[in-house]
Amino acid sequence: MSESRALSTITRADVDSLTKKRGEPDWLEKLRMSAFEAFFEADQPNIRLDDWRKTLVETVDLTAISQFCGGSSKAKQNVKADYDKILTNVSGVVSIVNGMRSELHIDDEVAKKGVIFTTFEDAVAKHGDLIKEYLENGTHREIGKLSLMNSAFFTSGAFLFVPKNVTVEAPFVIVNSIAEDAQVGQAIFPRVIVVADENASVKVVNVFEGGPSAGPSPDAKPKARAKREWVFTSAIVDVAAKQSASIHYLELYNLGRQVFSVSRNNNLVAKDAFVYSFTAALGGGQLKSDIVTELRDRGATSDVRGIVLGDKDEHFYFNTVQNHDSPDTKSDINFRVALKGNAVSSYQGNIKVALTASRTDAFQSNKNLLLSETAKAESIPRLEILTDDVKCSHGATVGPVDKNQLFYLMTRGLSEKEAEEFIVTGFFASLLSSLKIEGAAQWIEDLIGDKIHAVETQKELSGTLS
Amino acid sequence: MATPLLKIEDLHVEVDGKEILKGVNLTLNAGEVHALMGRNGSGKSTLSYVIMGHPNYKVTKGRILFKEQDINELATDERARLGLALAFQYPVAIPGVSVSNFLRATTKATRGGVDVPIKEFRKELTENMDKLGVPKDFLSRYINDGFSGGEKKRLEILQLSMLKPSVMVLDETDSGLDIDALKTVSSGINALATKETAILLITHYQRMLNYVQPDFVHVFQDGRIVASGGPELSTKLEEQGYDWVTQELTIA
Repeated sequence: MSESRALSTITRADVDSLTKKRGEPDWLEKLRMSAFEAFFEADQPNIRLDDWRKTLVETVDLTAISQFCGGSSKAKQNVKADYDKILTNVSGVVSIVNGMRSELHIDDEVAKKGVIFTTFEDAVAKHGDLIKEYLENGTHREIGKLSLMNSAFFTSGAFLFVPKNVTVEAPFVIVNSIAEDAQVGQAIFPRVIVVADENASVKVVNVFEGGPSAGPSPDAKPKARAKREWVFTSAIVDVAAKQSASIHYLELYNLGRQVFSVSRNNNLVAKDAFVYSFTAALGGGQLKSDIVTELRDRGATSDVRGIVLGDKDEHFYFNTVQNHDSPDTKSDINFRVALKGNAVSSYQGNIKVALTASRTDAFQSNKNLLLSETAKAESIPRLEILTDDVKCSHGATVGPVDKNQLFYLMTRGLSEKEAEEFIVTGFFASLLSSLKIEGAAQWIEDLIGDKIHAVETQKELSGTLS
Repeated sequence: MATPLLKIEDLHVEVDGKEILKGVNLTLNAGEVHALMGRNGSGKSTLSYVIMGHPNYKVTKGRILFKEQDINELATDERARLGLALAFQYPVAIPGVSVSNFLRATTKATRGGVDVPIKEFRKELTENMDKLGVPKDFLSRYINDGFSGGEKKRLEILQLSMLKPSVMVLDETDSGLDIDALKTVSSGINALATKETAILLITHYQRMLNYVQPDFVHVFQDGRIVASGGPELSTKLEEQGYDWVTQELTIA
């Protein structure tokens, strides 16, 4: 595939040459082809669709996204050392910069237990049997045009497999970064698959970071339809816990304001298995994430947590789906959103209970805290229950920051920003305290503080210049 | 004579276009404890908020001077860092923020932005907690979240003892306290009253003044101070109520 071709003009032959050039097996070529066909036929998403309301999707010009990122000379080095510090100790690191492998480590002791942790290219070559079923899922049309792009064009990512009965305490870290030399118009397509086999237990941290933050003035309200220049990313993440397995998964978005990010997370929970999934969305021009949890077999349980901190003209869209397909399944979703500036968030949550899923226990909560008068949040909870004998509840709130709290904190000498930081971290505290990865809650809290204070720095800066 | 710590001159204040304070004059010197007594709704709490610069209150006339500096234009946090503090009548809860983190940050903020070494900080905090009979588990609890009335008031005084402000306004710190709590909190307040500090106790009962001896007592009514005197004034108020003040004013 020619690197300068616009994605919208790509043909079957281009996909064919991509897969040949990479020396991929036939089965993958077939999957890419079928994903490409679905992508080709799918309609361009627009803001009239439920799935894309209040997003900036119409500012994306697919014809302007004309190249895949191909590595970077400015890749961050020794990422492992950083995360060893932040998270005390890690079991392995895969670092991908601009869609190219930059670093790969796995702890020797962990590898001896049969754990596989590697890049996606390597997984395709050596572990096709383990990843095929997940890649097949990515060709289904209902995942939408922009996610299908990933299935057709993905070139990078990570694969983690923890064998039966193996428990790994220290987390695995996957870093998908966009380096500072990434150009608008470039695209990356990360693909991550995490599998815990029967009775295995593992913790994973998956980071999406970097990318430019220039673009429109931070104080200007973005126009919903005017085309903008984006670095584009579409990711698919599968987190699969087999029978009685347990996965603790943390995903962090710390992207620049000129990054348009689409992701699809599939949490696949087998009999008596448990998946904990925490999303921390702390940066990105437009982040859209569909988090779909499939409670497939009896006794499957999941906790989904999310925190969003938006500022300036950032847009967030989160759609969580809890699919209860079997009896005695349990799911609990809790999403909290805090917005400053002109940030916009839309949350949709859907609890779906199949006819066969009696004794389902499902809970969904979404709270939104508005720190400015111009920030906007909406919350749309839904229930689709086809059987009796279930326990389902949902709740949503949207409200401004309590001025009395701000005043109280400021009477103790804290600046408005410091007071805000306390209120926001307090708002997120109950969710952060559920993180079981050492150092992770503090790490996220620090990033929240950085984000709140960054505004101040910028204001001071522009003040000096003018 | 030394410079007053706080001087309020002919202060007029509006909230939502309605005048609440109608010409308050008050001077607090170092080493003094003043009691400000008055009925509910007389504007006492408004005065405490205005001193701290609450954004909802608009000063339409007059000045507030802290060590001769006009603080009208200063934000709440700037006033706090100068050395002004308010113990709230109704302290708000901040869920998710632990008392220990909060105290550490506020101590730093009010001591010139310098972190007190953690050992020193702990020692000082423990001493103050012991004095006020504050249990250890306070530190890991969220600020005022699920606190009883008495616990909230203790936390307010604990904060003042860590922040070491020079001017303290205590808004009905006695309300909702049982006798034991009142004694402990009062001894905490007495410890705050030094040669370098000035305290303004806002209350409408004599009760607390049995434990914290004021040097001056002022009667507040309809947005201004209508009578001032020594401690005997509070006894008179306790015995005869506020009606005599109203009557004297009407006659005058």
